[in-house]
Amino acid sequence: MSVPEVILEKPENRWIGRPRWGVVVFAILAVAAILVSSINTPQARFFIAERFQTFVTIFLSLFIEAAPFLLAGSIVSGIIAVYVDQGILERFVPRHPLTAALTGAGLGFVFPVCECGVVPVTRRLYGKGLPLPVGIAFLLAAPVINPVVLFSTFAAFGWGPVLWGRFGFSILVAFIVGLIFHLARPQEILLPQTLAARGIPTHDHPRTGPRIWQALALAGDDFLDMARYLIVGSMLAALMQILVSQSTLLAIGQSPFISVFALTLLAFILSVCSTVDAFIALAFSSTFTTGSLFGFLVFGPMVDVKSSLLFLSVFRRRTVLYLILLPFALVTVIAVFWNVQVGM
Amino acid sequence: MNEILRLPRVQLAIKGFLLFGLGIFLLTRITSGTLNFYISQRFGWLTILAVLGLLLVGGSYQYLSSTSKRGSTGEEEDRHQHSHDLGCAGLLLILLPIILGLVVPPRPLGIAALENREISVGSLDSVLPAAVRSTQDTGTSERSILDWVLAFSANEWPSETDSANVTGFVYRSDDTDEDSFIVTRFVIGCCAADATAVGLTVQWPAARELVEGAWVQVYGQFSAPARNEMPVLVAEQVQAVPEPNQPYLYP
Repeated sequence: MSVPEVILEKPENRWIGRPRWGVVVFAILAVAAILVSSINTPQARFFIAERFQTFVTIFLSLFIEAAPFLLAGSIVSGIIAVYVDQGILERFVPRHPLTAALTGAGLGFVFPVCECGVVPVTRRLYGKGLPLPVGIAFLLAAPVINPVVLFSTFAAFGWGPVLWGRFGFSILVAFIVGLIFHLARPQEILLPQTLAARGIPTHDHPRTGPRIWQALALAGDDFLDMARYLIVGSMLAALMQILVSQSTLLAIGQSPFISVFALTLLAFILSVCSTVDAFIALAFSSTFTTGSLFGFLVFGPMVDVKSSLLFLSVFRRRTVLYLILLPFALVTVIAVFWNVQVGM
Repeated sequence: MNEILRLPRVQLAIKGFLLFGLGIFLLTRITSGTLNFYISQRFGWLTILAVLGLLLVGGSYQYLSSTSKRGSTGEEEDRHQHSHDLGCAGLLLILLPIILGLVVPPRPLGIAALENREISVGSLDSVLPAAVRSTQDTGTSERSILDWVLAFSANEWPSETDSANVTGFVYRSDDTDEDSFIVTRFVIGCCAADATAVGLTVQWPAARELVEGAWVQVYGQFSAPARNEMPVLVAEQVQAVPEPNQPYLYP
């Protein structure tokens, strides 16, 4: 049996493309030390303490809200690893780029996961040989294209352009980005450890014991892998929330161009789960353009601070940058076009 | 240190310990009632499931650790571990929610969170989360701050006989007069990250004696508003109350 190239990589090369967690922890401690040393007056101390309290509350709220979804995604991933045979994917998943990207965009109805749960599932499916465009389209579309989000958007906006636009544009953007990634090779896109399981059926379950325990232990591995990214992402999102003024962003709601950037940026910063973001977007509907609502509802679930960090556990850094910029560019064009041509 | 950490059996033990730790941390938030400070009460069941899931997954490491002593080879384990190892920094990072949760006392969002957030005083504006429900079926004395704000937004103006009895924390903006304050609550849809604030302007002669951020219960009646102005709650009684177990309002 031929051994895939990725397994033969030198150990020191394994970590290329992954963040150095020591550096991350050092950076966090350094920022904290600078902040503490700059406190001179009691008022400043009180101000910093209150801000820190707010930061901790928001950070923990994001973590506590996302953890069940990440765990659910990890358990699904563990079950796929142990029970789903690689041959099943090869038999049922289309290889043609057009149908592959379209299948990926609709796969959320088979695996109804949000933006946290979708990452471990995608990583595991890539390990099982999922074609690149299917995984990319699934990763971007699944947080919106699933029954739970469909219902919550309907509950917030009813049958109308926002509901149809959200689902139509999400599929369109995921399909196009998936198609673009069809041109790349897996080695250029995926981390070595994501690729490592390809072609080695025994890799996913080398441990002894009943298969269900193996699946759960693999779920634990995935959860702990991704939790690091989730924690850093949640901290960044919380930090931005206490540093960036919402009123500055919201003051520009009626411009057909800037309103799109404002709500897209807000969605990126807030990192709210896609299952409830429609209710938040509804609040903006009276003062913001419809196009900008698409920025919030289409781009936000695909990419935010938290999920961008999670992507780093699957893809190379350059790929993560593309996964942020390509949906951003496409959603911006769609949203501005809607504002200018269809109406605000 | 990292070499010891990366030994397969040590990794199994650490991972089991971390998952148990996270599960127990979440459990303490549920049992202490402070989970409401972070997420909407309607998602509490998800956290309960997460606790069960974390304990179950953590238990799988314990189980596999005991069976691997009898069965598997170190080579197999080593092959699997290569991409899932937890070093010192990774361990510290995953412990961070637990450390911060233990070191910083749990508190809901307060006035510091209003520094860079909009507050909807008396009217529904762009930052209020979706809460489009009729307030007509709620008796006026039972209405929360959010109910009143929604009623005003729907042009349901209070009559002179309507009395209000609301609870919130004291906030003063730059525009607030000396004899008034804003009784405020945060409204959350999902978790504290999407919190927005709603408030009612309260007229109270001793307003300046109230500590900002302190929780109060306000009883009074609304003054007839002038054209294009929001009603002001003229307080008959302002009473200090402890922070409620449910500090946020839900749409």
